[in-house]
Amino acid sequence: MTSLTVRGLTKSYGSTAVLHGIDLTVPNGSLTAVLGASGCGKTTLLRLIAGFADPDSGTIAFGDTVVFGPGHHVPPEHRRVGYVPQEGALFPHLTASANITFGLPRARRRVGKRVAELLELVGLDSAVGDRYPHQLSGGQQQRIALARALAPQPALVLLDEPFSSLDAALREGTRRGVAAALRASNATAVLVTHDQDEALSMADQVAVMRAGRLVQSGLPSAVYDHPADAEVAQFLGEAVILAATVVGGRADSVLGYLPLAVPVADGPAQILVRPEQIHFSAEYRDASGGIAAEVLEVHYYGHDAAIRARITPSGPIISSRTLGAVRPEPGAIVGVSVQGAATVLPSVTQG
Amino acid sequence: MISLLVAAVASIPLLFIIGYTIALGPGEAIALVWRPRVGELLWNTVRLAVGCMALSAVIGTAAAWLVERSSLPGRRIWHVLLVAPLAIPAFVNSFAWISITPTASGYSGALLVVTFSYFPLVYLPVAAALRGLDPVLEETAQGLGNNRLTTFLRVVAPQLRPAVLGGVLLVGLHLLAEFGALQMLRFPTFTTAIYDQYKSSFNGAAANMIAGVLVLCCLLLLMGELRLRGSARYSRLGPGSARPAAPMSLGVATWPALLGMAGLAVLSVGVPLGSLGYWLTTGASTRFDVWSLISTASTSIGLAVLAAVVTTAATLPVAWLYTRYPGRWATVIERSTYIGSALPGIVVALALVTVAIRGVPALYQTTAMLLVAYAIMFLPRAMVSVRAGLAQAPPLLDEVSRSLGHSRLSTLRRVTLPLIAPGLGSGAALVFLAAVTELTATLLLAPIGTDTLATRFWSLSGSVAYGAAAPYAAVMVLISAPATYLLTRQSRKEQTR
Repeated sequence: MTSLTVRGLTKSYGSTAVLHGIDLTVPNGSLTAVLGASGCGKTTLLRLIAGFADPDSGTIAFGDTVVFGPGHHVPPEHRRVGYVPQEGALFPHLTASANITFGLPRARRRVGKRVAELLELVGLDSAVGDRYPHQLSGGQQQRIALARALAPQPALVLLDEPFSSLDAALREGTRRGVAAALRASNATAVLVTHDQDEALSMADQVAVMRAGRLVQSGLPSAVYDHPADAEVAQFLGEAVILAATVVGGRADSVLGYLPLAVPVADGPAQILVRPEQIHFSAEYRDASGGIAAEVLEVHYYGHDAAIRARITPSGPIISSRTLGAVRPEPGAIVGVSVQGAATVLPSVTQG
Repeated sequence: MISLLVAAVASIPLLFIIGYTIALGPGEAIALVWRPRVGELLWNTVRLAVGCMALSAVIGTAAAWLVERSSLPGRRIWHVLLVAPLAIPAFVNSFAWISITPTASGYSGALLVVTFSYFPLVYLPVAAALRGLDPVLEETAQGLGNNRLTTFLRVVAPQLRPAVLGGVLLVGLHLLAEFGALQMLRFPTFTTAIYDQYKSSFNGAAANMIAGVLVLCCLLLLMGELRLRGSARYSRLGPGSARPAAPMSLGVATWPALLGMAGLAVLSVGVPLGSLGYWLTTGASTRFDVWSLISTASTSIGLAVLAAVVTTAATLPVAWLYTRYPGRWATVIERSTYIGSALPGIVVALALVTVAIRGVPALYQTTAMLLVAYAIMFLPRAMVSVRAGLAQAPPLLDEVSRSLGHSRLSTLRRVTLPLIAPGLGSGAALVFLAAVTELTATLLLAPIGTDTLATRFWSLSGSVAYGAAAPYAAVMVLISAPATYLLTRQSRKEQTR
């Protein structure tokens, strides 16, 4: 296993620039999720790292070995990269076992031990080994694809939206199995996805991409709590973004005086509050001088509910995520309280 | 590069006809074309083609509906019987009819024989389309207030249209190219006239100009077909396979339907096989040369195997270019290989003979030349299968293989070839099937002394040695039958995929 360092990577197809100088460092043995909407260039980045296409400029290094850069060009078959494409792409003419051993030297293909080990690693029964890809479920195919990628003990594992073709019920389990297998084999991995839940729950590091640029990277919690701008905040989850004035380390907004996670200088600002920080209470007491809101819509999900409400009388619309217990009817007037601190978004001129 | 060469060779006949017409000059060309004889041939060709296309459309569609959607008993057996005529070459079919009743000649006789030979070309695609239609669509239409009849007219019929039209155009192309059957039934059309001109006087100019008119007709049909293929996409949306439709009960109509189907089977399969059987038992015993039968059969098989290998190999680079590097040029190259299929064997042969005599005389009357003709004529048949095979090996699998440490060559051997092998195999089988019963081009191009089953059968039946000819026809049918069976199985699989 090795670390991955990408510096100043650019790529254009014809006159369309797809990547504008990507810098990314993936530490040894960690999982980095590259998160971005479709068409942002994340799959292209992965293909350049794997060596299926060449960048226009920039360098790619695995540990100390430069695999692409001035004077260096290592073809894909010598990069030792495990690649798990969308929908698995198992070889349809080979059994699951033969798929797994495909990348092993001839002498080791016959040895059943490695197959059994890998099947166990990805959480599959050894009986699956004799089946052909069309006899496997989507989740099983995806796990076999991971086992195939891990079999030759690659320097780096690349996963290209490996769970997007699975339905919701299968996705969660497969995700967990894959994350566990990657951790158990101590692999350095890059996962490309457009699903923020996937990125936040699986990765050690999240790198947000937008229009061919890397906008922000860091710990999942850091990116979620302190997004680089409003767009990143909204991409990572539902966000309530309000205008406020910072006075003496607190933000004055329609939600009252809120403490700040990171203090900033006094002045006008945009603040971010996540819906799970906002609570509605049924008994609103006008006398206490609290903030009131009129409930507009309630979406009930069982384990929790999403409520949209307008600050009375004609303020901005806010949303709240509450555990199932408190469920006001649309039209009701509720009291609003905020838990925790608000985050000041960097001002627009910076981004 | 190789693709360009293949496309260039495939375009030789068409370019030759165009070039010849230009070289002849407009005055001369018009004088040769604008003759009562050509008008008569055109009338014969057109009325035969239109009649046969219309009859095939009606018979093929009705039979397909009965087999796929009605409660007709024994649907599997009927399916086999309806496809069986494809295993009997049209000139064998016409031999069977003319040898038992001399009245089977002229327009009505020719129309009868070619229709019974070619209606499966409509039956197969329409049956496949009916099978592929998702009954959910019909149920939705009924849910929206349509009865059975309006549902058929508004939902089913529009979806069958591409299949029916495609099949009918194919019938038309086959008819324009048909030579053996019509010559035997003494019904003069363009092909027979070209052949007679060529044989009697080696009158190049007259033959070539008639060929030019014929090629125009073919190109008209081909354009219709390509257009249809490009625009018509009525495939099912969404994953999963369609649920089979519930058959519609025929009720009292069952017996007339059974009777009609039985009549069709007797006329299209029973008569030719029965006639062959009759001549085999009565005529052949007198003087039957087993050795000659074996040697012509092995010549036929050998030539057909070579043709299959050469043609499939020529297809591969073109199909590769088309599926892996799609673009305008790839499409032009791919399409140009289709021209050959629209050109009658007699035109291809004529063009090659003239070009060879003028350009490379050493090639004239060689096996190589015959193989080139086969390749030009049968490229499209192989192309369809090879392209489908290549689609089974998407570039993504190559990339995965290379990331697992395999070089390009090793990837080709371990991933690509195993995946496309079935496509290559079925492509080669299709070419083999077509070449083993090919008559026209073989008659004109085969080296002296090379006798195939088809040419020997032709010369024997031409001299009214019916009993002696029958064994050759029987062997041709026997060789074609398994390949035809495989073909129908394949079309079934493609639909369910």
